[in-house]
Amino acid sequence: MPEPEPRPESAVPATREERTALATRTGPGRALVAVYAVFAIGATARSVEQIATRFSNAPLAFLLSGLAATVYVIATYCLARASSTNRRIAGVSLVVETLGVLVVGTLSLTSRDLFPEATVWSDYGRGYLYIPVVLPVLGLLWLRRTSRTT
Amino acid sequence: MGAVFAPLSATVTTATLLGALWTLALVLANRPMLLHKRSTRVFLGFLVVVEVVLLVQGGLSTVLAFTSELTTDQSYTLAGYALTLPFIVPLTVLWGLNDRSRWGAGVVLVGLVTVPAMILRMNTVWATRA
Repeated sequence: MPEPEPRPESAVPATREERTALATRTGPGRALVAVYAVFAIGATARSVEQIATRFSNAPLAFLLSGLAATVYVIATYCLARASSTNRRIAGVSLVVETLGVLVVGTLSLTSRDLFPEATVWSDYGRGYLYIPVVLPVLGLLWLRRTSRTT
Repeated sequence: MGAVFAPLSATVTTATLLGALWTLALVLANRPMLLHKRSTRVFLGFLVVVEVVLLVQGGLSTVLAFTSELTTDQSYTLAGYALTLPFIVPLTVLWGLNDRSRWGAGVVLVGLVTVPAMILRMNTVWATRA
């Protein structure tokens, strides 16, 4: 018989905000932050390399890569900290990320001349197994769920 | 030295995917990774072996990156991946063990899937060398 899921942390948070923060950054939230951290590191490294070595080849694409990297870094930090302010900032960055991947994904398919080189968000994140289009949705759902359960 | 690149990559890829399957099974079966469990300690031993291979691969790949016929961009990209890879498993394991729910294994799963994805990218860079 499966063992009952242990409590994530032994100390019981005193305030509602602390309980919400704990719920946000533990359990599935911890795995979500791990995925965001991977994307933050990967997108930042890729963006720095693109901008440093061949920015003039595709300025718009590389600037958007930089924006994507920034959004991933902010989302990772805010989801990991998860105070009420962090949760609000995370929510905004996840919305920006969703819009970014949808707009860039659509433009990269309809106006290919705008994107001579790919960004993380090109073709709705096809180069990254479409994780970039799914991730912000999961993040927003997680923020919604943890705000309700606490 | 280039001859050892492919076998090492294949070994690490297979090992991490097996580890990823194990952690996925833990998540699905609602089994947390707890240090007092023998199965967790055996699995961590397996990951230590994987880490040793990753360190060897990281060192060899970095040397290869700067001694092979690669462009400067390719050299730094390959070395960047090679030097980042050995950090992923230890960091995700430490962070995952901190969560006493099954999602601690989920964090390790993320790391173990990231490693073969980065190796795939390294192989692409290696295959397109000038």
